[in-house]
Amino acid sequence: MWESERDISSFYYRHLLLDFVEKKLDSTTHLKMRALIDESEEYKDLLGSVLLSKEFFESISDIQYTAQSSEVLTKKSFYQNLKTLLNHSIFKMILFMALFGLCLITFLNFMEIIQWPL
Amino acid sequence: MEYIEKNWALFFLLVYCHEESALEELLNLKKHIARDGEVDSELIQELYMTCRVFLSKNSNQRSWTLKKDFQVPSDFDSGAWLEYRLKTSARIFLMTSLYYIAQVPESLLANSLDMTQGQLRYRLNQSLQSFGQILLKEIAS
Repeated sequence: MWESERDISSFYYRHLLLDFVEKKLDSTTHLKMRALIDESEEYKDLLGSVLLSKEFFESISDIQYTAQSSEVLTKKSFYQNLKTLLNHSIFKMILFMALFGLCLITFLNFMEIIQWPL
Repeated sequence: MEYIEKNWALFFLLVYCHEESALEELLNLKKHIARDGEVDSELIQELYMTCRVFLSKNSNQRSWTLKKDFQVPSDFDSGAWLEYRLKTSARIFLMTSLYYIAQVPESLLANSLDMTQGQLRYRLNQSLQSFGQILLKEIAS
């Protein structure tokens, strides 16, 4: 029974390797998987791959991350926002209108056409 | 899901392989967390799409851009990771990274990616097998 079951379901068992490694299988299936792995070189290789990948993901926590980085970035993002604002076309237009208005008032004051703000 | 900054910092670093972009994305996430308080499926979907766009725009990226804010151990196999990142479909790559690096719980991740938990585990299993093959090849060479 087990022989034919193994042949028919080798595809199925291949996809249970992760559950086998993470011990999420029921005891009967776990034992069947254990037997399959012991018998088959192919399964041993696949199990090795899964274990190696898991080990890699566990080693990721060894990468050191300093929380200062995001503080620096917060400051930096303020300047980036300011830069974006200065580059914005509407902001440029408002700035241009304000400068133009200031120049016009200065000129009219100079020509004594108006006396503003006094 | 509880927000753990280091997990997300590492997730962005390993998905983007570019420190500055990773930190900018982390800052965006922190702003969102400060506003909404938690990591939910909507946020995961949003992050998934952002990362997919980044990956498609940088599909030829073959190196890491690291500065000083992350200290990567000398024995860390960055070559294998880059190869895995290039060879695997973006969906599987992000799914694996979200689960193993950001440590998004299985049910939340499956729900966010609109799949069953069984489908998720099937994909993760395939992903680990193919990544393991790359790691084995790197070790052998």
